[in-house]
Amino acid sequence: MKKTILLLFALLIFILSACGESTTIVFPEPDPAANRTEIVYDGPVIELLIASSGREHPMMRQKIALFEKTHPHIRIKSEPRFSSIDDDVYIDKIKTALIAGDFPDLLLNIGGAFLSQRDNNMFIDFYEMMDNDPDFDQDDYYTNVFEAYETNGRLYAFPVNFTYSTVAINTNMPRSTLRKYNRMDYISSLEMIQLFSETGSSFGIDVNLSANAPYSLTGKMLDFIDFDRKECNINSQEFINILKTFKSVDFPADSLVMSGSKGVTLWKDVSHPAGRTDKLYAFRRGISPYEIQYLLGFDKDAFTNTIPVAYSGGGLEPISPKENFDISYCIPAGAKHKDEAWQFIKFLSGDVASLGGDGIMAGVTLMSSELLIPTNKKLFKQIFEYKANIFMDDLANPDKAADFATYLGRYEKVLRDRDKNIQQAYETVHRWNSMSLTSMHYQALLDTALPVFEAFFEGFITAEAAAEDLQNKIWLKLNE
Amino acid sequence: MVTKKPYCSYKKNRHCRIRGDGALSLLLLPSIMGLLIFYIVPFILSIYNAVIDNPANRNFVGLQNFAAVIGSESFHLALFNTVIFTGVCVVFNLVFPFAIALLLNRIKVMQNFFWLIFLLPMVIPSGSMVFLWQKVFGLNGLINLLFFKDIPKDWINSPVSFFIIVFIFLWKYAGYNIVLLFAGLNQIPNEYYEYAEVEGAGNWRKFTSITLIYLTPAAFLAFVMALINSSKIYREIFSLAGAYPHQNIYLLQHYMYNQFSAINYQKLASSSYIVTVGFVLVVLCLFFTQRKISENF
Repeated sequence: MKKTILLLFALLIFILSACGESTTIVFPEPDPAANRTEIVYDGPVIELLIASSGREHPMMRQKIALFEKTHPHIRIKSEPRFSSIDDDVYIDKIKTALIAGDFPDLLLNIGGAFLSQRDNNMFIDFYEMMDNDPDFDQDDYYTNVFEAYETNGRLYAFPVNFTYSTVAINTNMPRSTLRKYNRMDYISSLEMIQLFSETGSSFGIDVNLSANAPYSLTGKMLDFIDFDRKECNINSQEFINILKTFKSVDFPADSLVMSGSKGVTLWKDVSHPAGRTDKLYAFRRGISPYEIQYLLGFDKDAFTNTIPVAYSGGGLEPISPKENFDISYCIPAGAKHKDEAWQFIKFLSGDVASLGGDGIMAGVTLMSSELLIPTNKKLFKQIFEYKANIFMDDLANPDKAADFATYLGRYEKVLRDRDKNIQQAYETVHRWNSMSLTSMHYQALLDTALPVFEAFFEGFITAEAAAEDLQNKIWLKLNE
Repeated sequence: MVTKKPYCSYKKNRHCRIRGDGALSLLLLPSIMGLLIFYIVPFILSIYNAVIDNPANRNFVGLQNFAAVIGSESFHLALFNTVIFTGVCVVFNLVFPFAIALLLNRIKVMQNFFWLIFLLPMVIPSGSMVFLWQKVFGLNGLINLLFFKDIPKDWINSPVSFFIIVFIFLWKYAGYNIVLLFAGLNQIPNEYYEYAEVEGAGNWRKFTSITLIYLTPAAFLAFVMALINSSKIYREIFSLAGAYPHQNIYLLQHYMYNQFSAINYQKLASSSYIVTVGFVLVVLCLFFTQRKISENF
């Protein structure tokens, strides 16, 4: 009997001991000794815990070293559980940490991953931080990018960088002129940009939705949803016709890739209630640096008026870009060191992070992707000039120029081969009425809508069945 | 004759009783601790989540979350569907097994074979079951192949999905109630029927005055099991139709699961408490009913 009791107790202790707390391993700090200016500081040090996924953290380490150099009273800490993992795992871990109350002071916001948390006011409003900080000037940034990240008039995610897939929007060009350009190949784009310069119109860069059919349809579906009244009429004949139109369009083969990693050049006609029509030109994502430079760098002076995101002149509403593959940061409402986190965000988005004290690109990799554009105006222009200079230098090199010409020639041939299909596709798509680019809700609906669109495009269900299924699912989701 | 005394007379020997109870408690301890740690304590602690606005701000909001849940159209739909589904399943899972039990009571040939047919669905894993029914009711399923080849339809995602789910429920869980009711039927002494026969009672009179009356305890148990099993079928519904099925089969478990997926623990906790209150009321009704039945038997 005694042996039985002892055995049971031993078993119980064994089970309970497995439930111990896991230790936190601090990510090894970079050694900035080579570049660190000696600053003597004896005061209290605040430890700021940040979270940036495995994708961003290698760049983050370099920036941390620079930041600590100029802010000796702040030490930045990161943990492998947030910094050595893929984006998908990162999102789950952050959501769990937010619920558990064990969250970092600053966290990377990936796309629309934390929309429901933002809806529930779980993050601070950066507009309040900006208003209370006399050293921060909103005019240094593209505020229309901020607007794209707003939730109910509050800014819960600060966009340090954002991505783009369109290039230009011209508010002054006559519609009839624009109609000629159904497909934006390189030659046409050069002509367009030439025309922009000649007309002296301002133009800018806007962010477009992933330009493949299912993703575009999800965005189109937003027109049929009333989020305030929690109603939708996706099973209307209008949407069914749109579905059928999409299916009838002969998109290039790679445009139905569901991951959204590839896109097709797409022409969108965006009509606003006020009657203004702005044309957005979508370029293929994954565009190479050479292509960017060729398009944008042929006349640097033409870009003195360049602004990212649609120009919102004339008192009309701006077109909100989509949060997509961006770099933005959130500070949880319960963070211990909000002010210090804000200091770090200002640093990340400021030109200091790029300069590193020695000029642009001083051995510091700014972004994980060439497709990212800084929200900071000065940084934005510096990077363009930097890229244009590289391109000009390359063009001066006969070998590199020849490579580029060959590359461009090959691309033109591919486009010509697909010309007929794409022409038809764009002419059909061109008849769409309007597209709402409501960034906030798009991502939340994407996961629900994509499987239905997949089944539809693969021929498993009819347009009517797809519309009915979506109506059912979206209504339930809206009213939960 | 010498009567051998038991080693430990449990009722009279206090020392023996303590030893027996202590050992029993120790053996039960892991299960009780598991129940406490993983069910009872988290359920009680979740009231905190139900009365705050979000885990970051942690502001007390009283019954605001409960009001949000009660005001949600999706919750109303889920509640309505769950009540209807439970009612239909329980009724069918009494009537149908009762009829089968009566038939099995009369059949003497190949009885084992019939038992196998009715009990086998209970041991088939859920995953296999889902695969099977998808092959029957899905877009490329047997039903479409046989009857709707030109106009195939995803029946699981259609207005008739409710009846499909009821059918699947009966297919899986009827066997259990057949066993209970069959055992109950065999408990009724044959003499009662013989006396009734002698007194001139017809078949219907024997059925209503003897069979139904004396089957009541077993039927009550079958009723309770049907009620419990009706909530378990959610696993199969989710596997077949996903988190957002056709509105006819959108149940309370879907609502709560989707709140969990959205990491809206406030609504999840609130809805859990609301549903628990409902279940407690149902259990109390059952408890009093069971007491009344016990008094009569």
